Amino acid sequence: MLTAAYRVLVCEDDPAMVRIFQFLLQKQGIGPVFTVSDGAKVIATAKREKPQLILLDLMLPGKDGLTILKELKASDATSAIPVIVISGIESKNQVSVAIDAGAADYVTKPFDSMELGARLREFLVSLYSTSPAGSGTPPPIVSGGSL
Amino acid sequence: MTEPVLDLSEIVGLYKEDARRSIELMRAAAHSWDDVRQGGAARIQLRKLAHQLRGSGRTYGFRSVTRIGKALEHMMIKLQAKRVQPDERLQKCVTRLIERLAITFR
Repeated sequence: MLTAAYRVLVCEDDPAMVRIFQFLLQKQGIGPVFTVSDGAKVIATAKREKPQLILLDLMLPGKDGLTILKELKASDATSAIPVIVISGIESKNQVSVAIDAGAADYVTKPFDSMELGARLREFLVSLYSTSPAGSGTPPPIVSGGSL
Repeated sequence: MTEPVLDLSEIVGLYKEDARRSIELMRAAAHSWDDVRQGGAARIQLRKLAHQLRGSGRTYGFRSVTRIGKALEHMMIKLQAKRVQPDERLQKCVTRLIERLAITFR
């Protein structure tokens, strides 16, 4: 279990996936968890809640995930927040595009919940053991692909 | 030592309810075949729900849901790309896959 609080923003429109993210993050002692299902509201939510990690689906209603990712990375208020793309799109080109746009990782759905939870915890621990909370850019943990 | 396993039983019941709702929406969309044929909201709905079930199925431990969802999604992608015709054969195929999903959550 993590002893510090880590704010995580889950950007996902499928209620089943939102629930599993909340569940696995809670089991890893990660929270609070904020959720947003409308792509058009992600940037404002990120600025308001100041998460330490964003999990971003690429196919959101309102605004597509890649546009959101680029906007997050272009804004001074959100550029330092690591973004892990969690998407059902399996194409290698899409992985490459997301990493180039600034994603710290790309995870393909479906995924192993246990493994993803553990890896998110490791990611947060590695991030905040190398830089103060909310600053700096964490090292990428994988180059993409399915867990 | 055995690998720890994340016990999803607390949330699987809710997932089944979500999946049943999605299957009902897919049935309704497949019944509006003219709209599917013309690329309307029913086609978009079918593709979106198939995509979601593909992503969530195995994550919740339902491998067959991911497999069937993937097949349905690919059909809709092919339809969108005009690589298959929206004929009666395709409609039957889509309906059969939706009913296979329904059996999983009966």
